[in-house]
Amino acid sequence: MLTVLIAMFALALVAPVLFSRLGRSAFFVLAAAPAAAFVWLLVELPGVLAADQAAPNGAPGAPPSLVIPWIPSLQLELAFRLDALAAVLCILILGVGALVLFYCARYFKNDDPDVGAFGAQLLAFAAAMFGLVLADDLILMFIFWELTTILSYLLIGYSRHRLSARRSALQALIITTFGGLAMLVGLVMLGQEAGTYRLSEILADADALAARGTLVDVAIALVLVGAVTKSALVPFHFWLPAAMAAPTPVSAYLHAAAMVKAGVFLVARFAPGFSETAFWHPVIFVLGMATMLLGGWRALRQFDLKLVLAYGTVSQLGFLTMVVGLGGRDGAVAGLGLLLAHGFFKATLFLVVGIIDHQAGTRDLRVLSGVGATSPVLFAVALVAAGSMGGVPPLLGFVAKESVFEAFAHRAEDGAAGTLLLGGIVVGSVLTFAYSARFVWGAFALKHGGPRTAFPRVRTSFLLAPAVLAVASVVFGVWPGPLDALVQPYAALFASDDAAPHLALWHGFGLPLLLSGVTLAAGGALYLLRRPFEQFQERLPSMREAEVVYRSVIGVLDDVAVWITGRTQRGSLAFYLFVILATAVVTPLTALIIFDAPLPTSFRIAQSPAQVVVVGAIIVGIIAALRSNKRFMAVLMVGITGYGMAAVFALHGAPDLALTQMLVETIVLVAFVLALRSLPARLWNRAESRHRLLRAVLGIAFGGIMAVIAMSAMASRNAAPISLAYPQMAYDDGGGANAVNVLLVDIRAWDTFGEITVLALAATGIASLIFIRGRSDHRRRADGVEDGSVDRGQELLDARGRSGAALALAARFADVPRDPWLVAGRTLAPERRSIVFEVVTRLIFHTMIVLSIYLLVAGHNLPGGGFAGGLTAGIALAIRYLAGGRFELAEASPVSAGALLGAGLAIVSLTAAAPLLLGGAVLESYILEFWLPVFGDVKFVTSTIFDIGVYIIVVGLVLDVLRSLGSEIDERSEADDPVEEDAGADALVPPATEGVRP
Amino acid sequence: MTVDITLIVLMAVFFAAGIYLLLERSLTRVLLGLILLGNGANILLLAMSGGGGRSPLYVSGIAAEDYTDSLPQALILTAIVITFAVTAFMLGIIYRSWVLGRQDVVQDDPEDRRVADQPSYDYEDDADIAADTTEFSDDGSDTSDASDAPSSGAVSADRSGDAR
Amino acid sequence: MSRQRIPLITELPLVVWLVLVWGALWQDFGVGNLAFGAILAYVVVNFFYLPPVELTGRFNVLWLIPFLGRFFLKLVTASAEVFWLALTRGSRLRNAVVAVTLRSHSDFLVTATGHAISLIPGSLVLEVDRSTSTLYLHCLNVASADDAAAIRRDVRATEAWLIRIMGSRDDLAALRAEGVRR
Repeated sequence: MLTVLIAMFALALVAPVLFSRLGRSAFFVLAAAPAAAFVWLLVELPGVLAADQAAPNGAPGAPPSLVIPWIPSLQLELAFRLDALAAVLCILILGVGALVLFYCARYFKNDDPDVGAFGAQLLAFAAAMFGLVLADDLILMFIFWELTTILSYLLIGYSRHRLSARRSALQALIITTFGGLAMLVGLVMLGQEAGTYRLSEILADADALAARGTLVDVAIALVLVGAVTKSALVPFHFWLPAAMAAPTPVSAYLHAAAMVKAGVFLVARFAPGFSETAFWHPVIFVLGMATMLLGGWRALRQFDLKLVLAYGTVSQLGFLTMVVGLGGRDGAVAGLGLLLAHGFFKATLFLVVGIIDHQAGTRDLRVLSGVGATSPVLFAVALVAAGSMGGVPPLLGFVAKESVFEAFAHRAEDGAAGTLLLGGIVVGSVLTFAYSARFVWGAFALKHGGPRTAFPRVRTSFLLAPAVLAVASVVFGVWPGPLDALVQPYAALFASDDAAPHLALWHGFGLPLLLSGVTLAAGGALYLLRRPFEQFQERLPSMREAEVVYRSVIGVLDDVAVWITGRTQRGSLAFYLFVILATAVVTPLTALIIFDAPLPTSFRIAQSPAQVVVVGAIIVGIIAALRSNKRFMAVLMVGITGYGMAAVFALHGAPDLALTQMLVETIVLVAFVLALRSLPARLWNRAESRHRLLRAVLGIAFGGIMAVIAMSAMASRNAAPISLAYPQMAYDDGGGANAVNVLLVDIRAWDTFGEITVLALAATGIASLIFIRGRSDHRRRADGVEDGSVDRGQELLDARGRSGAALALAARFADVPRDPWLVAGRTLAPERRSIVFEVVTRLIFHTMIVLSIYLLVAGHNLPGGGFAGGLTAGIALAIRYLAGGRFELAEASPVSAGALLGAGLAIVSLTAAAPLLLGGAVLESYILEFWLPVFGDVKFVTSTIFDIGVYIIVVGLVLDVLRSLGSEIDERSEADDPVEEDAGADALVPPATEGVRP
Repeated sequence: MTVDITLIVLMAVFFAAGIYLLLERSLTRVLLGLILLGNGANILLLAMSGGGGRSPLYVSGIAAEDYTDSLPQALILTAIVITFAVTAFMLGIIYRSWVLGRQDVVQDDPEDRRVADQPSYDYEDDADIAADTTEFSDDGSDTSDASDAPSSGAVSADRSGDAR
Repeated sequence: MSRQRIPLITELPLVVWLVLVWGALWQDFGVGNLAFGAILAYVVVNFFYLPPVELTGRFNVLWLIPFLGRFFLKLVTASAEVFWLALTRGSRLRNAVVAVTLRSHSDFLVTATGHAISLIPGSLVLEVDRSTSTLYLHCLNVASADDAAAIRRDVRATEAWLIRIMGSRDDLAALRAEGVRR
């Protein structure tokens, strides 16, 4: 079974390729798949019919089945089971499917758009239906169910450019998905109640389950909702006529033989066990009867042939649901018989309509005229099918209807409800005959007072598919034995004392035959009286249509969505943050209160007085930062808090942290200055005062809640920290005395790996923000640069006034030909040079580099490490840049930043991967102890290589920051027109900008 | 655990100031707010690690409880360096925003604001279209809905919605 | 200026200094450590090229120690004085920019003098005129020309100390000549 299923899906996947090669003849290839599967089905059929339908999978005498475990913890398995009911459906799915695909080969033209996708979707749909009826697991069935929903959406919306197609596809999707979701809830409830999701086991256990009470009743009701929406019963019937916007083959397959039958199939599946649950009969009969009558009534008002059939299908589906849901053996036999008959005749009729539309260019029955005479074979085929629909002997439709009448007559003996049902069925059948006749008349009759419709000859291959189905209606009508053999095993599932009736052409004289006769007579009369009847229909007030209700519901949904989105999505970052942070304050607070969080009992002011002083200084800095109006002042204040943090770290016994914090804070200050020098000096306060108050309140609240959470967390600690053993572990196994460093490069090296990757990314990000066009990693050597040409500011020198005079003076001060202290210091304009800075830089640069290498190497046993070392080296480079300009920086860094970052990452990755080659774990470190001649005993830990990689990456990051925020901005601002910022350019920008040129 | 009030207060002030600045319009202030928040988080980690003690440089003979907790320190170090990277990145953004727009403010998203102004009427859902009675229209492609005119070669059902 | 190969002799003082720094950092002046430091220093100096510094070749430790003592004394007294001034006089202080011409024309000495002056609270180097070796200092509490003259004397005295410690022979000779002239 699984092979057939997979083969069909696989062929569907490949289909577009076939179409590009073969054109529309690829449909023949596609038709072969379900045809082959049909043959396979026929081969399996004897075994299936002979099996005991109620037996569980795997037991002797059980129908063919296949179970593959998939997700055991969810009780989800690929369980397939081919029993009699599934076989009946498969005949329709595979047989009609093959014929429809064959028909498509002549329906479409070679150059129709998207034919390939269409073919693939149609075949996939057939495969999905096949999987649906075979599925023995509730969730698997749901998966195939939804698959058919999606594929029907795609198929209905085939002509994408037509609004009606798009709209009806979406409508069908929404309604069937709504039903599908309700069904899912019901299935899950059922599965949980039953303790298993295996359908066959649930059905075997059905009596016990049904007795469990309301939960199972509700579950079954929800499952019925799914069936109701899929099979287009009132009030969800309106999607089916709208879906007639689909190409006719789709209507013939989906809306006659396959998709809508899924709902009926579901009802048939659950009927043996659950037809006695509380909601079953009311839902089935009320909705089914309403649908049957409404559909028939509406069908008589349509002028589009396809719509006549559509409403007819709606009516027939209501009919079918009632019969199949009747329960009992007679209902089962009649239901399946009617299912098959309907599939045959409805598909035929739709295919005929397709042919008419294709040849005549219209489906309007007021326009079509004389087609019957022009194309007698077509007429015969349609006549047979319509006759079967109307219940004319000796066709299959008549045979089925006889059984139906018999079943309902049997029920009518039991009470008034049964009689009512029987009466309703008869009325519905009368309407059915009437619209069948209307169809035949409308399509083929010669209408007076109008021209004959031009109707080219129909090719045989085009006509073949409906003809085969029409023949089937005739043959099985006359000889219903094989069909009877098909439906009997399913009927045997019902517990009943009476023997099951048989499908037969002649049941003898009795109520059913009388009812058939009445139906034919009344239907014929209705057809003959069609004109007065039309007028009668016109005069009746029209009910509110279900589709209008649907549209207004969707409209209300849209309006509500827009309203909510408009309220919450204001586009203002501050608003979003506000909401998030307010929630962050309220929710933990509530949790803390409700769950009675512990609070600490022992407090102390501080560990030492020095800590109080430092913290006080930091708080002063913070408040100054808040209140400051000048950009750099605020930055400086935040820098002070950073240095204060370093002091706090040092007091707390964290030397590594203090070191790193100080270095980072210094570089951050440099970066701030470099980046913000082009911006105006003042920060403007534009927020209104009430917003400021809100923000202050939120900030204070957040700070307060964090304090409470921190204290509560500290009081909740009841286990010893895991890091108690780390210092010892670091020394013994990691080979280093500095536990923090060993943590970074060895114990938690993966964290550091991720961290330096982030650094590399951030560096690249900064470069891409500033450079725009490539990193320009090539260095411009200072050789080619003129003395004193960089950062000239010449225009200001020419200006009058104090600033000009000051610059001229500065130029004179520095313009001395003496020995250079830096490599490219001469490139700077004289007024920008500072000799003190150059001297100091020259003197301390190499020392700083040596210091950074010391920090790197010593980090394992003493405070230091790759980060501190790299930052120190970065500061050294920063000093050279600040003293000598961008050419100095280029000369100072022989390797480009990108190369450094890449090299660092490579080294780190190698350190991570190399131990694998030696048989160890990833990032495992080794302690190597050896003796060298001059150096004596040497102890080398391989995690130092990791640290070297970190060092290089940090240097690369700082270099990138200097190059982007420093050199590149320098170049750009020199290239720009050095005009003072114009207040008119942007009202947000304050006009006073002075002295911001670098 | 003994709670150090000073550190808790410091952390609360950092968070309060950081949030206050984070909700600002000016990108520079937002960045400063981020830095303060980062500092606050670091102090939180430090406070949670317990009281200070000996720095975690192993010396044999010292009891394990005497060392300061080394794991939060490693985490804080990571946080410091990453905050630096993020700060530098945001500086790049501020600079770019200044170069492009001569302003460094956090701007409102006009598209988001436009959502609230959407009308109730949606052409795709609500437009009235004429029913068509054939799939094969003569003018090349099938009925397009650029014009609501019915397709040529077929008479559209001129009854209104009643026809269905 | 292109990168020239600096002869080892010129590099040597720098390398030695770096080795000493290395040893001091490790607090280990053993042969192995210093050897490693030597290799490291050599690589660093050659990898990062900077123009060779012409040092004077003199370094007199005997003068250094009293200088440091004087420096620390001035540091303490100046800190107290500035603190007192800030408390009592505050914004009523009169400050001035004083120009001081130095004897030496060596950049190195000018920088050292400037540093020594700036590190002591009360004065700060604003600008350096390289052509005439003039320091422009911003000083606190300068109300009259006498105060300015006092500052100039102080700065030149500091410079004299520094010349004695590490000035070039020419500067030292000039200093002695000046001392004789007085």
